[in-house]
Amino acid sequence: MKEKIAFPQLVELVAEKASTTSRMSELFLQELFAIISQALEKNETVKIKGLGTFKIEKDEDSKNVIFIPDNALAEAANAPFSQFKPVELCDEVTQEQLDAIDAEMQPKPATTTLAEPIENAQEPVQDDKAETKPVAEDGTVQEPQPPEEPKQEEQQQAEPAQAKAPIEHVEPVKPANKRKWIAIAASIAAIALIAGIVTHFTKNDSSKTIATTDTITAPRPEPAPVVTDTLREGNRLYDMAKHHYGDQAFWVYIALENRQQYPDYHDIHSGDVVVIPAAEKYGINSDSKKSLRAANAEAMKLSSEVKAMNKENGKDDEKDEKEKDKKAKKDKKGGKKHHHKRHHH
Amino acid sequence: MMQHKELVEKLSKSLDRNKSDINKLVEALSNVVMERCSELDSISVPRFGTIEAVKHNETVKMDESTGKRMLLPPHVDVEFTTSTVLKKRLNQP
Repeated sequence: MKEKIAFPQLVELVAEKASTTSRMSELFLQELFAIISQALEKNETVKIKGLGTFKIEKDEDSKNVIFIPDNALAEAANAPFSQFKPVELCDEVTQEQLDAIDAEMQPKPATTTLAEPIENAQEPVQDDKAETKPVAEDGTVQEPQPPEEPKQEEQQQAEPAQAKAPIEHVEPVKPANKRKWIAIAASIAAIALIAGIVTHFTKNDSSKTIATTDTITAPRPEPAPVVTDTLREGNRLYDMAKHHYGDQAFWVYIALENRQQYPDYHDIHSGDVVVIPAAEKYGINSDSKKSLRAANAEAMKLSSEVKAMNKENGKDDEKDEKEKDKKAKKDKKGGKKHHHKRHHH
Repeated sequence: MMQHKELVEKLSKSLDRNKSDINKLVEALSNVVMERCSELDSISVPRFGTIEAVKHNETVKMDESTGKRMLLPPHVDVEFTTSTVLKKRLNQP
């Protein structure tokens, strides 16, 4: 690399390449350059195959030799950079923009020193430079610190505290939290199970004894409470629905919820205790027309099912069935009063 | 304009060698120059000049006709420097 090859060396190299004597090589080279020089003196251009072209360039008062290398020579010399091509630079990127990016890339010390009083600026700057990275990370926390107190001590104290704090908090707390929540979830599930079993048995026993007052038996506040209600004298299911859900159309869900105990909702009489299902269970929403429509559809379905069941059992008289048929037809038109009539038993 | 053929003939006469030998020697010279220029070496011939490979770093150039800036990649040029002796001979009055 960057080796200077003198004439004797060149003679040897050419002799070696041409498999000839050094003397011959020397004579040849001397003669060659002599001929070229003579030609150039006569303002002649000399072209040598594989090497290039020597020609005279005339200035105003002087002549000079220009060498245009052969393509093969030029390519061989430029081989390491031959894959690069000239690239057009984007005009929109100005030096100012580049400077702005450079400024942004610099860590926070510049902004912190601006925010702080000039008197104290020198001290933190020195600190920042000494500990560039950690300060940049905690820079936001350090800014609000009062400037009157000695900063060097404060930073030394603050940094280890900040460094330790996240490690202490983050790592051990997470698993502990998880365990806690798993334990809480398990206990809630267990309580809900026990509560369900208990209410199921107590309901059967005490259904008749409970007086006319509304009793909401919620064994524990944490698990989903099972709400029960006693049908009052003169009240109907749709009164209960209005009371609990805000609209009497939702009576059907109370009937469905208690279907195991009362397959025919006509058999629910005053004084009977019924389970009031949670509104979420059936998507009950008195403000939603969709929910109301669904409730009416459900009511029609239930009434037809109950009717079919009664027909199989031969429970009701023919007259009653006819009456019910009429009522069912009217139900289809969406009259709520018919529910009201049905619940008179 | 002296072409390669004419140069070979002249050399053949003055050196009293056949053209094929001279062609062989010219080819050997060009091969040596090529190899050495690839290594960024310089070859100096007394009373004639120096042939050398010069590496130019990348540069940004403004195209005056279009006003666009071009990034020129680094490249190696083979350059010739005329010796002072030859310069003087050329510029003799």
